Amino acid sequence: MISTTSEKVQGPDPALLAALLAGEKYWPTEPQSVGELGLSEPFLEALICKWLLCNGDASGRTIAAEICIPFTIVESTLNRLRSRRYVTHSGAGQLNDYVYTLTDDGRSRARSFYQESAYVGPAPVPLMDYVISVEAQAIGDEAIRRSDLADAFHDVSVASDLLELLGPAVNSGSGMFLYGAPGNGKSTLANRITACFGQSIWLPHAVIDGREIITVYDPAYHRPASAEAHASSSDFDKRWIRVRRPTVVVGGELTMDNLEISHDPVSKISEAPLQMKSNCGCLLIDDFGRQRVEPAELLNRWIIPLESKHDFLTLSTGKKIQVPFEQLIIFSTNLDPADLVDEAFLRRIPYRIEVKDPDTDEFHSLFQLAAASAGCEYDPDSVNHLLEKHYRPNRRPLRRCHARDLLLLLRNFCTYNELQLEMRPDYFDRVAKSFFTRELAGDGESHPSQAGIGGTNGH
Amino acid sequence: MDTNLEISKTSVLSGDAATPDEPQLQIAGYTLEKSIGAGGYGEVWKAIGPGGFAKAVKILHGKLDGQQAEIELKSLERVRELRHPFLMNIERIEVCDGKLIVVSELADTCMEKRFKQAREEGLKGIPREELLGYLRDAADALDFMLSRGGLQHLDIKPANILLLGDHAKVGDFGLTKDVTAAGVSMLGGFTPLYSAPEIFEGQPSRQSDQYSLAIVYQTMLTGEPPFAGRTAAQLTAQHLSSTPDLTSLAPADRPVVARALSKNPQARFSGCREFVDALSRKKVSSQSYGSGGKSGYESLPAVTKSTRVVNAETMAAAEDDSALEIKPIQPDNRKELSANFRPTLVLAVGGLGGQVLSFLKQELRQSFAADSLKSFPLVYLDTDSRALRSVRADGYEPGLADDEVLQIPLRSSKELRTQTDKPLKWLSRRWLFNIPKTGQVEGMRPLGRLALVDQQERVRQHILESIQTAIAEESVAETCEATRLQISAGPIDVVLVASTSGGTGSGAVLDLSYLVREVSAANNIELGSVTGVLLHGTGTTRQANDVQQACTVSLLRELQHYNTPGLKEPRGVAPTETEARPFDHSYLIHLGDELSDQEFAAQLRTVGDYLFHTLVTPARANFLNWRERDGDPNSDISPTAVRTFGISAIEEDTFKSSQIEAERFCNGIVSVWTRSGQSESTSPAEPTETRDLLAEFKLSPNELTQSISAAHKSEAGQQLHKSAVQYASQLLKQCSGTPEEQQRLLVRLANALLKNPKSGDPAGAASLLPKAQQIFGEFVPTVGSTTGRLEEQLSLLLDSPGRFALVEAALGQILGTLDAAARGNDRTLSSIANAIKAYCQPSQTAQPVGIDTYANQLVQLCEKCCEYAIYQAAKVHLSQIQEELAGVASQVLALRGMVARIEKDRTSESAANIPTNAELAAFDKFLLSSDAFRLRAFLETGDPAELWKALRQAATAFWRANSLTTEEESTEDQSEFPASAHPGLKNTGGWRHVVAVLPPSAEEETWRAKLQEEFGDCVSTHQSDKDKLTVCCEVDGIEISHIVKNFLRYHPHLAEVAQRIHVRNDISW
Repeated sequence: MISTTSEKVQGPDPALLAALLAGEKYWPTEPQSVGELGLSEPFLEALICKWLLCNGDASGRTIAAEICIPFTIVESTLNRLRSRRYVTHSGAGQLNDYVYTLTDDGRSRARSFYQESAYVGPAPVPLMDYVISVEAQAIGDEAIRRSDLADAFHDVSVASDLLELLGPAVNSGSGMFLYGAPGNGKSTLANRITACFGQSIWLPHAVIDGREIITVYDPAYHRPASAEAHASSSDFDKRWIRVRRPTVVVGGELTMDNLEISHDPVSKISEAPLQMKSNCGCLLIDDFGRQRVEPAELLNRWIIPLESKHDFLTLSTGKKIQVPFEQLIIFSTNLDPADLVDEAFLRRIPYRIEVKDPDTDEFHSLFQLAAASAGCEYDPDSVNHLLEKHYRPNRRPLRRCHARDLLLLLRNFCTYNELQLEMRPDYFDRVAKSFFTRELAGDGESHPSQAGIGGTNGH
Repeated sequence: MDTNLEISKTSVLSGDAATPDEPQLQIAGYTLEKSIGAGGYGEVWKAIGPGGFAKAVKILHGKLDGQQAEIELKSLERVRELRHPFLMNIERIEVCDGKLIVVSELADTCMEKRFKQAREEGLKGIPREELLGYLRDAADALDFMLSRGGLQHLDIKPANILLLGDHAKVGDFGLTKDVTAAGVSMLGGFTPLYSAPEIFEGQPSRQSDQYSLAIVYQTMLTGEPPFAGRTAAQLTAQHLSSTPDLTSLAPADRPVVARALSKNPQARFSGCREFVDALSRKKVSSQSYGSGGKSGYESLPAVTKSTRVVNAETMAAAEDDSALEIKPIQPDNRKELSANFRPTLVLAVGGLGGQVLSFLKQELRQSFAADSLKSFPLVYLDTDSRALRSVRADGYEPGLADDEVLQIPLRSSKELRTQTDKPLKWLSRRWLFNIPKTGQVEGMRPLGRLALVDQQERVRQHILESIQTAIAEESVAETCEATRLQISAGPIDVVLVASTSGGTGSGAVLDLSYLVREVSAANNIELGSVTGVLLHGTGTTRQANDVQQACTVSLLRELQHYNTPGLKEPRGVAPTETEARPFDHSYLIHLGDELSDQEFAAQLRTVGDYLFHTLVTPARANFLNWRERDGDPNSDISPTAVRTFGISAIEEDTFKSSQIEAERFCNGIVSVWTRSGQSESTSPAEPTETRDLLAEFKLSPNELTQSISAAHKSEAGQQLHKSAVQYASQLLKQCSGTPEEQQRLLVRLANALLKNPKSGDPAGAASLLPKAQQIFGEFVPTVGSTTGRLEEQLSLLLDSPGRFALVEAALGQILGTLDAAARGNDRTLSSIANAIKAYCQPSQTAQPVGIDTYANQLVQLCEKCCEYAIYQAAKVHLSQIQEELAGVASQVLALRGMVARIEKDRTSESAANIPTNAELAAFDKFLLSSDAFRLRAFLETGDPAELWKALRQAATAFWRANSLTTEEESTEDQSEFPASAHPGLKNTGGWRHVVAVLPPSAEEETWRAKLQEEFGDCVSTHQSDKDKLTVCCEVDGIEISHIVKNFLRYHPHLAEVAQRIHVRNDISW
């Protein structure tokens, strides 16, 4: 009458508890059955057939690894396919495994599967699992504190009053404007802010809703986290991939289409929109106002998601799905936001932070940092020389990126001329020639507000 | 420098004075000097390399395609890139003639040799400071390997830690593995003494080297490895599942080493250096431990001690605090205790609780033959439907009824995130979004609470219904009738049972208690006391153990928090600002560690027993009395203290059956005694011993005659004769010479000589009898010694296998012999008397005989008289003995009669069986065992009742001691009884109370004395009509902080884990 109860045997997966205790916010447990996969048997069969069609013969374990499903599940699916004579054993593999190959029957089945959906690759996870994972790992779950931000910015030069503004804006979870002249590190800021929220997240390769597969993982934006940090356990659902918290940067090329699920009618595969790819991270819309889309229209697109924290997307079937909208959205522009959109819109995005040009002292310290990372001796006189000769006479504004960029040029110059890397005024003169394309008159290309900062950067 | 290593087979060997194992390889540029070491893998040589530098050259046995060489080569590939001051520098890897040759720098010595050297110096091991220095170097190197290459050395042992100058270098990378690569396979080659458990499982982890390093530390410091197995198999088993023996280490070191030796790699330090640093921080008194001081270690303990695995208890012993001793507290006999039976709701949550409940129900059903008692409702809540099913009644098995179980399912993340109307602010999102797909709580305590909060309406409703039913008048009346107990309607008591180490029970129990309070308050139901019975126990799954302990620590902290007066924080499910403690009385039971399912069940059954006794037996009075101390400001119990109990029971059957068996046994003995007395056929052959004894005491007719004649002929006998003659010659002087006179004189002489002397009679001075007795006494042993010895012999025989038959035979023989001797003696005596008479007859002739003839006659008469006197003495001697023995004989007879009477009484009670041979053997064994029953002790006293009682006692004791019972199990139980009643929670301090519930057949006084011996003066007893003897030991006043400290002492990392699994995060625990 008394049997072992689950309280004594701690369930099937100690990895989950271990991970959660180690501070993980989400952990995809390794599925033990098809039920836990959240996928149907026919779907798995189709996926395996398509995989064999595209890749040829392979052992059960290879297939399991490629479609990211535990071998035990794949094995039973393969057995079923074999009993229906869609696949056969074409050889013996290692450790109780076989090499499988499609039969003629199987090949034609696979082709028709392929026509239905051309998706071949890691198995998708149910949309709901993805939704839960995003909610679990979302930015803004825990408010960041001053020290977190200071830590994240420890190796870049940031004015402390900027941090003062950034912190609350980040915690608000609503969008923010970063404006200021280009080259002042708005992207860097966005990246660093993302890093505040923990280094990595779990992301599925693809999600499935009904029969529609939406690919989520995009190597262009997602960088796999190093395995080392998570060697604690290899028992996880391989359909998930550990990636660095994403920072998706889009510039002038952004269109409204990028913000909807893009469906390929031939392959019948959908691709997640940008905001879905940047979930749990940061979406930086660079050069806001330079898009072909009207700024107002673009902003309009965000208003509802920003407030409700979820977004509605339309599948190719016309079905609307709800996905979380858990990210920090940053509009970066070198125009004053007030010029771009009217006040009604601005009201929705309460934080507008100006990233100012550095003053001379900061410019010096930027050079100091850049010199250290470039590996040369910092020479303040050369910087003074630069300021005297190239900036002040031309009333050229100082930019945060200049130090790094000039030193890069300097290094290339020295390497080419077989000189030792040194900050020397004469070298800078040579380099500056190519760096500053035209002699500026007046206060440069920047917008009117630049003049207000005056004192520091222009004489 | 010669860059081309050319290998040529040389014949140097033949002419050289080289050792026989000189390798047959000559390495150009290197001159092999001497062999430094050799092993299964190959040899290491000291060589002089180019430029005259000394190098170490390792030559691997076998061909390069051999497995070992291949492994080595692969490993070397891995470490080639790593450069670190404390890694052995590999200078050259070459393949020569199919053999792999590795040239590296040469070390001074290795740690193993340094250890031997230290031992030779009389130290216990390498001095601690020196050793820590080496380990620090090694740890640096190992951490470096891990951080740079993701490598684990996997063969850390003293021989592989090489010493150079004052520093150590890690060498021999034969097994080095990239642990970050998936599916690292382990193929042999590692050293079992130093290998981590996961290596045996083929899954080296990032902390494997640390484990080895910890063993190196203990072994090199103390000479005693933490695992003392001698074969690889023993060591494997020990590494995988035994607790390390750290007793040789200083107490301060133990927790550190224990953590590094955790079976779970995650529980160890994050790096080797962290481990060594933790050791370095501990100051260890150099006097007593490990620093290798010469004094006190003159006699070194053997390096390989007997396998002794020490558990936490004994480990703790070194730091024992007298304050943590458990003191007995005397029962208060002055007070009239009242059991005050009340309706009680027993509420279990979580799997262990459910099992307890089903055992309790079993117990109730057996005692009262009622399927359920309405005033003692049982409710079992669980998230796990399988656990619920397992204790539910089904067609065959009795169990909990459908209305006694309630599932509080844990809904999935998906459902909860959208469909719950409950505020979940208290729940970290970490838990909410990671609810296992299996729907199991899996040890995550917050999820246990989540299930309760989510399902609170149903729980409320169920509890309310149960309570209302329980206190309804008709229910109480019905229950009174069923149980024949005086149950008072009125307030209802609540008992909550839950495991602390699971997820559901541990997470929900405290809030469940508040829920009960809330329900009763909302419905105006008077609540009696709320008692929490919390169970802690760990199973056999290694990985889970840590979590289970952490769960317990976490719950205890929460309980401590709630029990601390003055903390106003949210409690319970509904947001109330009460300061009430969750339980009026909290119990924490340590069921045991690493329990199998059976052991768990056995332990839980005892908890069920305990609940049974607190609910419906007279012992309840004691429990209530003890618990009064909890709320009493005068008692020395703090609000944050808990109670614990232990219970030990034996079925009356076992102990009664041993009684019955003993009785049967006694009957058997008795019947054997009597039977053998009755049937002559079974009487043994004539006991030669007795015959010898009789001869020894010169009682056989021959011996007796011999003694007599010897006495007669002895000097003393002659002296006697002379004295008689002297007396005769005196008489002769008075003789007138007439025949009458002569005749009268002869008669007078004979009379004088043979007259029994009377004191004060001068005429008696001539009597020969006393003197003759004296003389005869010289030739035979005294009467006392003779009879004593004979009696002893008889009583010995009484307890010998021959028993009564033998005794009687011997007695008959003795008496017969004596009789024969006496008769022979009498015959001789009478013939002598006749002869004397003949002398004394008046002569026929009436002629006075010649003086010479007359004198001759006198002398002859004297002679005869002497002879007579001696025979007479013998007769006295014999008759004295006979008299004595007749007494013994009558005693034996009386005893036999007594035994016969007993047998008659007994056999009328139970059918006497003919004892089997085995039983007979057992009887003999019993009778011959030195401390068992002695029948002869009862020769003197004649009370059959006394005898029977003593026999039974002795037989019962004998029975137990010789485990004659057929069931192994029951004897086992008995051996643990009553010691197993000591609570599992130890080293915590507190006060002990004991109550024993005795079955009708047990004697109260005996048991009380027996229990007092075990538990001290704190025992109360109760008689009951149950057929079970139960001893319940309760300890109160245990500070939660002590318990937590005990948990954390050897697993400090649990504190952190416990912190993370608190049920709610809106309270700062």
